[in-house]
Amino acid sequence: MTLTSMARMENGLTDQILKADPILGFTDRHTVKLDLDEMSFRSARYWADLVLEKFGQNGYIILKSSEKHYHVVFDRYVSWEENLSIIGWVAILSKSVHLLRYLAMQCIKMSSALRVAPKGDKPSPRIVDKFGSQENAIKDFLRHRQLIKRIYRSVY
Amino acid sequence: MPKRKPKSISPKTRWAIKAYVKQGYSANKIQKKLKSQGLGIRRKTLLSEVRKVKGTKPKAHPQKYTPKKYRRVTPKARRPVYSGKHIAVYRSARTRRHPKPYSARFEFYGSRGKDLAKAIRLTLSGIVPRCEDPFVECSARAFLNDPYKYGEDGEWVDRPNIES
Repeated sequence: MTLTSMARMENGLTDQILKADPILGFTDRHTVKLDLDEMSFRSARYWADLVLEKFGQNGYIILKSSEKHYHVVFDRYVSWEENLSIIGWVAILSKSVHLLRYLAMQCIKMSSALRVAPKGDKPSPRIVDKFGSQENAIKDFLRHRQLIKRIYRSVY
Repeated sequence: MPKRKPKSISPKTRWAIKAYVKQGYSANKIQKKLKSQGLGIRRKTLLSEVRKVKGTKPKAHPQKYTPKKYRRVTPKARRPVYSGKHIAVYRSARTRRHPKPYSARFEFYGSRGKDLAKAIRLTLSGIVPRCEDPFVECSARAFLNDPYKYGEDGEWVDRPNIES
């Protein structure tokens, strides 16, 4: 019996629920981030372009989280209220239940987050497309993403 | 801001000041005497020299005699600036007190990557947010100083699939 399992038994925990490592992600309030689940790459790019045009964003990057799961990060910093408004607008127009759920979770936590490190079998999201300016929010996002990945590699 | 040095004075002037001070002359009188001898100096320089000769201590808080608008403002100590970007460590968690998994999340911020890495390592070792306060936002250093202020012993678990 390992020390960990002994400690867990002492704490009264059993193995009925699978133990898992926590997920590492990037979170803030002023970067517009969309978590587009169950959506093709073309649809993800369509919504990114639409937000770019409608809300005056300067640029975006699209990251592929897994098959048919994409993350979009926009370059212009916005207020928290505007951030929620943009996510809500996309969620309503795209009729994406997943994005609505994501929006609700961000409202509860009062900050929006995206996964950076691997999760189970899924690898860490990788950049598949970019457009326009990458100098502001995207630059900061990529810098933090690098830091998180470095921490992840040092921890695991 | 560094204090400006008084202008240097000639040895002759210094000798004269020393002699006048020993005779008990006031600063005004000394200045007049020096001027008449062609050794005139700034009053500020003279006063500092007189104080040196007399051996008087400088005033404790010279700033309080200066009107507020002319006071030198000392720059405030710089506080580390956080960009508001945090590293989130999240998943379902459970503890001995709450065996039922609940959604939990730590959000760490800080300027030192080492502190962030240590804080994440500590959470992996089995410290999870309390069920009463499952979304914790704190600096990595504060968390390292007192991890049990922000969480308790427990474990990170996979979200159970509930089928109805």
